Amino acid sequence: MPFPYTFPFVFDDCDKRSSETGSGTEAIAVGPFASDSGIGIDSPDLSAEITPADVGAGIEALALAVDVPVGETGLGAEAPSVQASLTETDSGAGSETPGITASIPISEAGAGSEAEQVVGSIPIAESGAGSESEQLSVSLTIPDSGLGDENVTTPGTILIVEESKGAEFAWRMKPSSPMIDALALPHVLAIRVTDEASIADKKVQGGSLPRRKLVGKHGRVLEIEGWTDNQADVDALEALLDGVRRTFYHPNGDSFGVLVTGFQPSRTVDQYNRRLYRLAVAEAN
Amino acid sequence: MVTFGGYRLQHVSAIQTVGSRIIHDRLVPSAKSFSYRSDETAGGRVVTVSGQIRDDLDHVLRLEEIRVRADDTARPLDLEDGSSAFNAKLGSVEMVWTVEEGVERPSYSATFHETS
Repeated sequence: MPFPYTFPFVFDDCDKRSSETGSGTEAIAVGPFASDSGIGIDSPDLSAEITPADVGAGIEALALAVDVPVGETGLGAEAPSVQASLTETDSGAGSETPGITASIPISEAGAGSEAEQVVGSIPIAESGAGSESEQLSVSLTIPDSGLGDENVTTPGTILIVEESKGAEFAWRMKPSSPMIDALALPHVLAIRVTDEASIADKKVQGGSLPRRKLVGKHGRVLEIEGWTDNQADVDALEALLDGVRRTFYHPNGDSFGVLVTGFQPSRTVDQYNRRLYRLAVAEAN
Repeated sequence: MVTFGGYRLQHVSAIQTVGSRIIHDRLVPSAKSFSYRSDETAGGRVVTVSGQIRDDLDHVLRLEEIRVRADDTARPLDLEDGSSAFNAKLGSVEMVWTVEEGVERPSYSATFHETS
């Protein structure tokens, strides 16, 4: 069956189905509904679907464009919605480039709260060869000059479940507080990192400057100061003194293997609800 | 500003210089008022430069730029205080983050050892 089907057209009560098996090009179109300016609630609804059942050779270029322009100045809340789904089950050769573009341009000057939402997901179950280059782009531009609070969030999740060859790149979020393995250090006040170097001196007779050589570095040593009001924190920190190599995560994004070499909690009686502690950590790989 | 091998150390707030000389000091029998002393040679200055990384999104990179220069290579250290530059090797580096300054404003302290 030849492709493409095209849909530019006009009808208000439409159920146009093509069950065509002959040759030639089909062009089915569904057009805009009449606009309404009277009182009452209008709920126009348009469902469109293109379901190709094509097994032959050739390139399919299916397209479905949906536009819901809302030009409303009256009272009442508008709840326009557009849903699009592009489910592709392709086992043949060739590259697939499916794409969905969604935008909600809003120029709103009236009172009331806006709660726009664009939800996008690209679930991919791909086992064939070739590189995937999926991209989910979100841009939120709000030129807002009116009163009221704006609360904008752009959550993004990338989950890679890849079994074939190739390189995966992922970035770990910086922890908000220093961590040793999964233990977040409570109420850290200061982190002091010393990268100590051993320098050997060889004095030169006759007033010359000495010859100095950097013999080596011992690895970074950390002193972490903080406080806690919880005995469970003190117990957890004390339990780190077990000789096990762990990973220290710095809030600036750095991380390295460490051994916890010392822990000193304050035992001052008048600071029972704010117990200072000092943790000594040495870099070890 | 302080430069080490052409690299400019950011926001230097203090420089501490400790100079030393090798002095031979030998007590002389029967000479109770003073001993024999001689100035043998120079000990070489040890200069500690302290500063802070400020208003720099790449503050982690700046600290690494300092650390990697501890590579046993003598470079000219210019304190730019009117004194002449001299060759030195970078030794220990200390970095401090405090809750008052935040993660993005670390303080640092680098120790340079004058060498021939």
